[in-house]
Amino acid sequence: MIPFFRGKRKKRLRMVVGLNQVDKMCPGGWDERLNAPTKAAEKEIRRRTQDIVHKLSDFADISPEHIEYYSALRRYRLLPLLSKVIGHAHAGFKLDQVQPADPFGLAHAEVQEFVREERVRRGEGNGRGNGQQMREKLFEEIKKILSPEEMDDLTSEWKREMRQPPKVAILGKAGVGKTTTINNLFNAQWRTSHTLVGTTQAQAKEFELESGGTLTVVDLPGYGRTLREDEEYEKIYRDLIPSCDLVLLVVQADSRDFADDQEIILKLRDWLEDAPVPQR
Amino acid sequence: MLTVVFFGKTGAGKSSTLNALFGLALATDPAVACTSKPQVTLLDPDEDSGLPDEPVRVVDMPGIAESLRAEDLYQPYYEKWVPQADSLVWVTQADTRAYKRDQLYLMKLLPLLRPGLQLIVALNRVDDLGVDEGDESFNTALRRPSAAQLAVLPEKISDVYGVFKEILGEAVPFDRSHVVPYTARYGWGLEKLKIAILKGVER
Repeated sequence: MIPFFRGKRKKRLRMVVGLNQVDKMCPGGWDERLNAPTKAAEKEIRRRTQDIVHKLSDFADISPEHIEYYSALRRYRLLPLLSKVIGHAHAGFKLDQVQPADPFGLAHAEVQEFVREERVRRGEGNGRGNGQQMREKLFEEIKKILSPEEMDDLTSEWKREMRQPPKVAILGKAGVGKTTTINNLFNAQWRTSHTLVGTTQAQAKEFELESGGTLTVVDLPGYGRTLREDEEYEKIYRDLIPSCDLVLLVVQADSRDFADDQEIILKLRDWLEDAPVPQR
Repeated sequence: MLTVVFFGKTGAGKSSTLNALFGLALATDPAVACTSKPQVTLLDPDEDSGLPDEPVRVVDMPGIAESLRAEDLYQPYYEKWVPQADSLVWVTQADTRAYKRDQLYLMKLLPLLRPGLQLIVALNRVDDLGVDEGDESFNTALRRPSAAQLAVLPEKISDVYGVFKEILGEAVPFDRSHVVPYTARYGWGLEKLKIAILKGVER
């Protein structure tokens, strides 16, 4: 068997921490016309998120490679976040066609117009299909190296994997912007949702991706609300997280209180390490 | 000497609340926790007409939950000041739904609370209180909450009351009127908060 999907899997951590709402870090630091932070605010955001990265990585033993800052509401830095999601997810290539919501869609009209013209001028399409092409190229290359039997093994495993829609669990402190993150990061049209546990505590939401295909998002109840609720929800997390390709943990960047987040990162690590590949 | 002790999570706005309430000049910073030791200030009765005759000192305690490591560091301060308190003001924020850290720390303080002590939950940042998309946000010109914010406020107060009551039980007298909404940034609700706090220290 070729270790194509298994490989170095053991050491991998299927988790990305997103520091959301960085736009709120500097009051008055947002340029509404461009829908981007001002130069000064950008610097400040970078400096302060770096601080948070240290706080999280030092205490909760998670590498900065797994942490990215963004603002879902402003559609700011969604691409860097998505790259990390793809990079750390199990079979993350299934998400390589995703296009996050366009930040310029929220800019003033004349800026939007300018961006549109500029994109046409540079001959940038919508960027779709690149992943597909690269994948085909890669297969061509692999074909030259492998024996036909090995190639059959590989393609059947590939097909088996592709039949499973990507499944991402999203988790965060109560009221941190999980839904906005899903909608803008995956630019997804909500299709159906069904309750997994209890009433509305955890839901599997099926999304039709703008880029084609479906995505399952396991929307988990927020932690840190009360002691009693956390105890109840932890059982839900433990049940549902091992089956997911990735856990996207949303953290509020414009906060100084990361104790709940640090605590959950430590727990998530344990749960994910107990299930090195998604248990389906 | 009457003692009012201010508690709360890092970033909830203890220092800015004290500054706004009593005209103090404690350092505040949106990014960095400034208060790492209790700051004791004797209030000047001339400046604040609402003060009782007896001298009042306010104690600004270092914020809890900066990170998991910092918590026990401050425990000796809490053990020193809480038993001396005539009124305890717990500053927390309205623009969140997460109150577990408040609960956890309140639990640690519970054995230190003397029965009959007045505890006020100062519910700061009403200006950032979330309303549904499209609803009007805080009116900064008139410095008061929008109609939408005022509409959700009772529910918010009930929720916060429930969160604190769950821990406090019957340890100290505590009802819904002990949760006081305000915004230190714009001043709305500050006067009511001051009255609530001082009502507790007057004997």
